[in-house]
Amino acid sequence: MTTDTRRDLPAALAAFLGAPAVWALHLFVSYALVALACSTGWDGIRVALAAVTIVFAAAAAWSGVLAWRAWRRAGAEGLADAADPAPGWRGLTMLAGIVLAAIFTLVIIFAGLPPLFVPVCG
Amino acid sequence: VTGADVTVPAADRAAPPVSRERREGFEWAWSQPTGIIGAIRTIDNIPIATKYMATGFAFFLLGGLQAALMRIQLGTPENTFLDPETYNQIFTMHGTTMMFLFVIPFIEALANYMLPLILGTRDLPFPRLTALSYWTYLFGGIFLYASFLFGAAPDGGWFAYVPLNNRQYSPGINMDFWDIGLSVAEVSAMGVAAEMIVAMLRMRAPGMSLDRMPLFAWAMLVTGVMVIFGFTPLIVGTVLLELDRKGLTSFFVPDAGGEPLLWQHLFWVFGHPEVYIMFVPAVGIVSQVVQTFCGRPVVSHTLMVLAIIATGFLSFGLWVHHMFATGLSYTAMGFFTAASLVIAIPNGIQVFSWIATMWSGRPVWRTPLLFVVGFLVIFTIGGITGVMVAAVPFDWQVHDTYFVVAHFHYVLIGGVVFPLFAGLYYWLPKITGRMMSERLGAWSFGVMFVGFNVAFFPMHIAGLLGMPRRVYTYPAGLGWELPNLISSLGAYVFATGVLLTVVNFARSLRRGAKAPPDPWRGDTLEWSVTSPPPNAQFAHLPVVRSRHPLWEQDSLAATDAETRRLMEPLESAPTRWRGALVVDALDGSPKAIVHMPRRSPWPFILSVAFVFLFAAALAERMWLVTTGLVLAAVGLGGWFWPLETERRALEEIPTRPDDGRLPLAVGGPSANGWWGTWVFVAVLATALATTIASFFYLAATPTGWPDERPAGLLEAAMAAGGALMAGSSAWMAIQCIRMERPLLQGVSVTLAVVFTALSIWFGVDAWTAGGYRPADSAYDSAVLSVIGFQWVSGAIVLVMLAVAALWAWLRPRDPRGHGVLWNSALVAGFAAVSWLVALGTLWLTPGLW
Repeated sequence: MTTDTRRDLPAALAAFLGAPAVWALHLFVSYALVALACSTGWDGIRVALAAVTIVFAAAAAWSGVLAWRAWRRAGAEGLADAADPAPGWRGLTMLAGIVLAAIFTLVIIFAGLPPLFVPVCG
Repeated sequence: VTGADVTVPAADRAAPPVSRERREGFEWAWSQPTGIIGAIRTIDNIPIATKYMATGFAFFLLGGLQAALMRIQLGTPENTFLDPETYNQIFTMHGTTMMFLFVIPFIEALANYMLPLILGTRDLPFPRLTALSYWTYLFGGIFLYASFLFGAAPDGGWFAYVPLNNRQYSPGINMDFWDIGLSVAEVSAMGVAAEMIVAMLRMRAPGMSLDRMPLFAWAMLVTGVMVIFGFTPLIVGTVLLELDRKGLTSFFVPDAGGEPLLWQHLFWVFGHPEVYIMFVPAVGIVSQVVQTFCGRPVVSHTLMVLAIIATGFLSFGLWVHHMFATGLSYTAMGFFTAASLVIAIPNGIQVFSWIATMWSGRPVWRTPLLFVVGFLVIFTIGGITGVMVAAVPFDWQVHDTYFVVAHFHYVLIGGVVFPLFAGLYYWLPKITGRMMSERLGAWSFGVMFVGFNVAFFPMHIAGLLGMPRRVYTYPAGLGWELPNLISSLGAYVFATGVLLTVVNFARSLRRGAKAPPDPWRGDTLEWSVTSPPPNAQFAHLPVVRSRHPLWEQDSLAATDAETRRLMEPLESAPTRWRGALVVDALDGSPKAIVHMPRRSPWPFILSVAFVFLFAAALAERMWLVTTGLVLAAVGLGGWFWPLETERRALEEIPTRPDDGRLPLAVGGPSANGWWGTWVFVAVLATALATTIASFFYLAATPTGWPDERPAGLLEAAMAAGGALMAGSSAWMAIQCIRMERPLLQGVSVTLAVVFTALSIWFGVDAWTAGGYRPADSAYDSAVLSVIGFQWVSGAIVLVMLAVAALWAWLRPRDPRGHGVLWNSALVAGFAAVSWLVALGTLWLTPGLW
């Protein structure tokens, strides 16, 4: 398969940056919600944070599923060059999609836990 | 010396024979200017990086000297060796020097030297930027240290917390030196970062696809991106602080509705990524060293790459753990604890991967590997105390105590200095062409390792016993005497270890054995050239077919006729100008040839101009401003003057060949400048985001915020409209190039210039119409930062578009002018978006709260 930069570069960027971007957005939205809730005394904040966490964690996980499917479709032997045991740049991209999604889904869930246990504006 | 049997470098063995004429032409093209004037004009990465490293190491020794003075003072209780004022200056300068003048510049300098060799290219993409970065860094460092001459060295901590460093409590010029000197050093670091990013994405050996990129290159790519996004908020922060200190604004002044904690956010959103900006390159160095000295690839290369990337991202989500004791809400802290804990996963992957590599390889215990083992031990301890302080309750117990000092020295010396020494022992034979003494190296390592632990381990204990940081002395009888005495003794042992390496280096320069091309049997391309490398690095560009080319490839020559044909114009060529190869960012296939400038005095002139301008910011003298501006204009004019060598390049190689040859990439999306401009836009976007975030952060603490929408919104809307029109006109002009309508092209660019000028005019109007008084109100200050940013970006666009207009009228068909146009259109587009964001921010604010 030849490289088509116009098509492949955005896809590679999505695989490398997708899940981390979802996490960054989750951090930003949660932090802003807490600041807002604590200055206005809004009591729906816990539910809101939980909902936000579920949505963002699902989005990050979904990006991993997409990468996983692409990986399965390509097939392990289709990715590697016979002379070189490395997975090829396509394989690297897909693995990035899978592994980074796993790590960042975990961070999002971790970040969503504290509001369940401690007072939100303490 | 091992591997001395290989005396002909692999790259030379792969080179096909070329005529003598061609070889001499090529050598002329890549020759270096000589003498003092030559030193100013040279822009090659090798001489510049060498100076860069030497300067960085000198600052390391200076910072170490300051540490030694502090340890004398703290060795015994109630010591009077240093008075409190001097102690404050010394601990501030120790932190500032080590962070900003040693580690970052030194790592970047090392990368600057090694990256083109490792990637298999001839230089970094923007040689003049390399030179500018170096001179700016050198002058910035001298500027910062000049404060000692005035008896006004910075004394408010390397973190410059407010209100301690506000105008009110720090009236001297000490922290102004810090503010300004630091910005200079940071700008230079960002220049090198931009180079590294573009180099990694565009300037690799043919065939080096992403998955074949060595780990050091990956680490430096991630580091470059982190520098861009991490340093920008601090530059914005220091500008705001300096405005506050001049009494012009009140961002951090509580009486005027300002918020001191905003400074802590701005500082640590830089400061924590900074830790990883220093550590990630170390990951790269350690990986290369482990690989070479264990004689096998790093276990799970791909996971290692992903761990580096994950670390880079996560490092931006844990800065608040420096602020656990500032009274933030529990949940807000919880968010940051999450990332602080999870970052242990990628770090764990890295550590276990290295251990597995050593376990399954055949370690050869040379000095670089010794330093790596020292790193593994020390850094792991520092990592564990890091997980401890990531837990809020524990942090509250040890916050601002010597426990934290112990923790971060384990992380920084263990995680950065030991790997850097490993890297030095690994690469110095390549750089100097001389081998270092293994025996002295092993001694240096042993003494440093023991000295380090003796110096810093007791600090954990002193901290747990309650000893606070940053104190110039302490009373007897609190149980702190013994740990402090041991620490001081250990510090001298550590310093002795460092000096042994200095001696080793000096000795190797004079008496060291000549280094063969590949003394360690390394796997990466830098070992395929002579030691020291030729200035052109690769007359024959190596062709890569594997992740470990020197281990797995029989030859670095092209095996297929197609690649040979494509690469022929670069075989010991071009001869009348400097040329390099551009590859596809993903698969590493050859894409184009780029022209590189040969020599230029303008980076030096421009950095001198900066010195005048920064001195003017400090001393507020008109003649300094004028001289600075004149020099800057001269420097920029010279820089952008068309190059004769580029004209030759255009003569020799078509930009759109019709016979399948590689094109010359000049101007537009195929040129390096376009990618560099994207990096610049990323810097501007980060600065804008920082400004807007600060605005809303201040709005959330609404002391003295007005209840109604500000005046001047109409003018702001006009300014935004002007910026939009300017952006559109610039894009129109680009379309005119495609349609070959030179007249219309000139008219469009000129319109873009006019609209930009109008936009700036209305932008100033928007400010004056509001009748703001930023000195008395945080809200007015915040408005100033949002509108002021637009003035700055508008001015940049104006200059760029003016140059593009000049080209469009004088030489409408010249691709060099098209490059300027493309790049300025990109920045103009950003400026338009930026104005819309500003307008929305100003419009939304007060009514909402």
